[in-house]
Amino acid sequence: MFSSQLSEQSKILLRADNLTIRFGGLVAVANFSLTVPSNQIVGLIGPNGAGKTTVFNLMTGVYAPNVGSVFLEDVELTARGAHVISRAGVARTFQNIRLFAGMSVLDNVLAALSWQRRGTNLASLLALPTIKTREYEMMQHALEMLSFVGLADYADWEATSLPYGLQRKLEIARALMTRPRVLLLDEPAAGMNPTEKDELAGLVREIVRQHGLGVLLIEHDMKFVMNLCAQLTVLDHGEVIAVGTPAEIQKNPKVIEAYLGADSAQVSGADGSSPGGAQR
Amino acid sequence: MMEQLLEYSILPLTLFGITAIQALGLQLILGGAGLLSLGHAAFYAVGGYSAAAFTVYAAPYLGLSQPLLLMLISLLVGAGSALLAGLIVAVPCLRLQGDYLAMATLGFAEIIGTALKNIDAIGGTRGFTGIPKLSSLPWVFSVLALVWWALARFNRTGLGLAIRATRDDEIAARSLGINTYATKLSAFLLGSAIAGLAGALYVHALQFISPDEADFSRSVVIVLAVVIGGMTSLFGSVLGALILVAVPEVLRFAPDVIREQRMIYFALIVIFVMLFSPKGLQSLVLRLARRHQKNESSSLGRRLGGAG
Amino acid sequence: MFDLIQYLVDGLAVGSVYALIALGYSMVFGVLQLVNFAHGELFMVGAYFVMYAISLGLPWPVALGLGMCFVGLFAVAMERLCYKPLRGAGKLAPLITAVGLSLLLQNLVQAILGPNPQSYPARVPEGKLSQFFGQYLPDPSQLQIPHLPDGLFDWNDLVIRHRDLMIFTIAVFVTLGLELFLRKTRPGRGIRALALQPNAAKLVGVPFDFTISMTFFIGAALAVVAGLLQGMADNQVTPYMGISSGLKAFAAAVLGGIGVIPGALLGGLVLGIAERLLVGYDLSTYKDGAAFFILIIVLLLRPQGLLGKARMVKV
Repeated sequence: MFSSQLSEQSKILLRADNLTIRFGGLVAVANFSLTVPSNQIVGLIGPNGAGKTTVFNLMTGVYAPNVGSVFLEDVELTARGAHVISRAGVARTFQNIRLFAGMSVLDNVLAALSWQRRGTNLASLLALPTIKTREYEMMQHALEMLSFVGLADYADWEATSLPYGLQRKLEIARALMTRPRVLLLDEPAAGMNPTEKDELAGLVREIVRQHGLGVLLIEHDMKFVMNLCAQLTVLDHGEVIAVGTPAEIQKNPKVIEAYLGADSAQVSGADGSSPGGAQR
Repeated sequence: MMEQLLEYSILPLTLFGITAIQALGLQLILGGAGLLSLGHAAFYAVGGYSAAAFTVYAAPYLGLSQPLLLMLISLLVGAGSALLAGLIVAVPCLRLQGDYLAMATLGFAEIIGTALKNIDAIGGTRGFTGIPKLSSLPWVFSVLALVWWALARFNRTGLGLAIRATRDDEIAARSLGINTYATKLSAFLLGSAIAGLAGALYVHALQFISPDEADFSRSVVIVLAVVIGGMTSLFGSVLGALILVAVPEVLRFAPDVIREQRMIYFALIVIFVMLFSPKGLQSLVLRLARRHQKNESSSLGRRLGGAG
Repeated sequence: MFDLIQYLVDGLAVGSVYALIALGYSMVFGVLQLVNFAHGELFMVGAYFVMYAISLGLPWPVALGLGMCFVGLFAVAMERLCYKPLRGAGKLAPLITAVGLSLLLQNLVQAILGPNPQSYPARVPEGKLSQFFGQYLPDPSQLQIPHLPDGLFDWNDLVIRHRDLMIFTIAVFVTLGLELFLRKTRPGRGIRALALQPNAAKLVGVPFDFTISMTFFIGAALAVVAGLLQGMADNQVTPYMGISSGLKAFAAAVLGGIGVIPGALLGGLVLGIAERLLVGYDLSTYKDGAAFFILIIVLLLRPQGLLGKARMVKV
């Protein structure tokens, strides 16, 4: 199952080098570089429309960059296709939750095992004894994952009938099922109340603690981000304008200027609200 | 009297069984993978013609004559040739989005139909005759049961879940490592192969097949069966097939009702079902069942994640 | 080479009829992303209506006008009763309903007016209906049945029939007229707005339901014109003319670029010419497959059609 190595050493897992992408005449992202180390949570922040989700899409193969590359340790992933990159060990969640609406909570999570179950489809269909153990283990794994995020009681609910906060958790659980080395979370706290956000922060920390993976998250809620991330990269108009610890970023004049228009007090984390406005 | 009734119902029951198998194949493509395939009958026809060509031309040449063996092999031939036809259609069409995919499958089906009309060795426009009777109602129902069981099991395999995930959200599916193109292709090929089985059963039960079996109108019947019954479940497709065969048959007994009028009632039923229960009759049945069920349940929309 | 040009010219008339039907498919798809599979039946009903109206003694412009209104309003009713309730129920439900409607219309016409082809002057087949209407029908010998012109242009052995030229001209004028309507008039621009940006259109006050109804009305009216022309050209109407021409006209619409008005004309003409070429070169058994063969090629090489714009899918 997951490695429970609690290695203190951090190595660079995911690396984006100088990514640039143009849509028509518009340069959406330019010269973007970032690293995601193991055992750490790093954040990507910036005003609305800065290009954060585009960066995610570039790093997960949804878009192919015009310039630049993406590496997972020493394996190049640039433009290799979203499913290949996922199989290599990069998982993600989406800004607008993308659950499988026609399937149950449990099935959403089981669907993530399809790649791991390749080659066993016929045996599975015929319910051959040879894979019974393996299927049992996978089912256990899925149920444990649901318990881990607190969804064990909802296993046979229709996925989209879950309350919003639980849907987000389900998406994270589903992404974790692919045994990723790196997890990219796109606004996981959007639309959550403060209690839910604290729970989420705890969950993310626990995930890193248990599995040693690296997490990159996009968020608008400054307080959430400041408390959780070891390092922040700030994006504005598709370009990186600052990189540093939360403390450094808070005082960075360029960052404050980028957020001008939103309350600058919010940037310093004085209150917990999100400048961009909650999604739901 | 009973014997006469039984005797009479063999044909409609056989047709029901064959339509149900076609519908199950299409359910995998349409309901399972979410691909709007409007030319499903073409695969069924290709399967039927190939199976017939095998038993009429190839089998004597190979010295095969044992009926059971012949039927089994022709089932394989039917499924295999339909799968091949499915491959030829799917590879170019799956690149296209929704509506365009529908149009392209329709186009391919019509082309296949035209091609069948132009091959004289299999009867041309007049159809293929002289096919030995190798299958019958028990065969049809056995294959139906087998296909139904196999699809129910298949839906729980890794590939089965991947297919439905791809249908629900292709981008999310890819983010989980699912090769959505290969997944859609698999669903399409399996669905066509199943149609081919239906074709092989048909030609050896009715001992005849005409190129009209590849027509758009035939494909429409199969789509109707899947949608009217409820396209998210296997049971729905079988139910739909039952309705589509039963309604015209029952109306046949009403005196003074000529064929066109039967079709008018049938069309009205189709329209009304769509207007009042767009998710198919299966959901109507479920809704009625739920109203009777007053025991414990959670307040929020709880539903059993089914095998569909 | 010379034959080729002759076939090109001969195909224009058939193509023009396809084009007029294709316009309806194109418009409805443009605003609703719905392929109205019942549209071919509107063409068929229109052809019957006009033929019967003329056979009752009405002058052809009156027959045509009445036909356009009647079938147009019928199309609007169809949309309101059968498609509107299904907005938002996904793509499949309206499609199935359209197929149901198509079956219904075909069989209604067959049941009431008989399955056999009919020619001018049309007569209701033996039965209660004919007894009822019989007293109103004028004496056939006294009817002035309009004809398409019979003349030819003979230009260096290239024969252009007057009637073909007339049909082609009508189609071109109709297409131009429709384009002008869509670009220069307020309701027309409303249709275009709805097709391009439904949400924005609603925000600026384009009346959604009314505009949709208008689109159906216009599409149906054009199909009636096609029905009149076809009925006169072949001197025949059958209950099946809707399915055969309808599906092909749909292919023509896609070929030209579904949702694009001049595309429907172009697609129809290309299809008509292609069919004529096949007949001319002794390949007429493949004629009916031609439409779909062309459809496939277009979809694989250029799915948006000859004149359509590529659709960008946003992630």
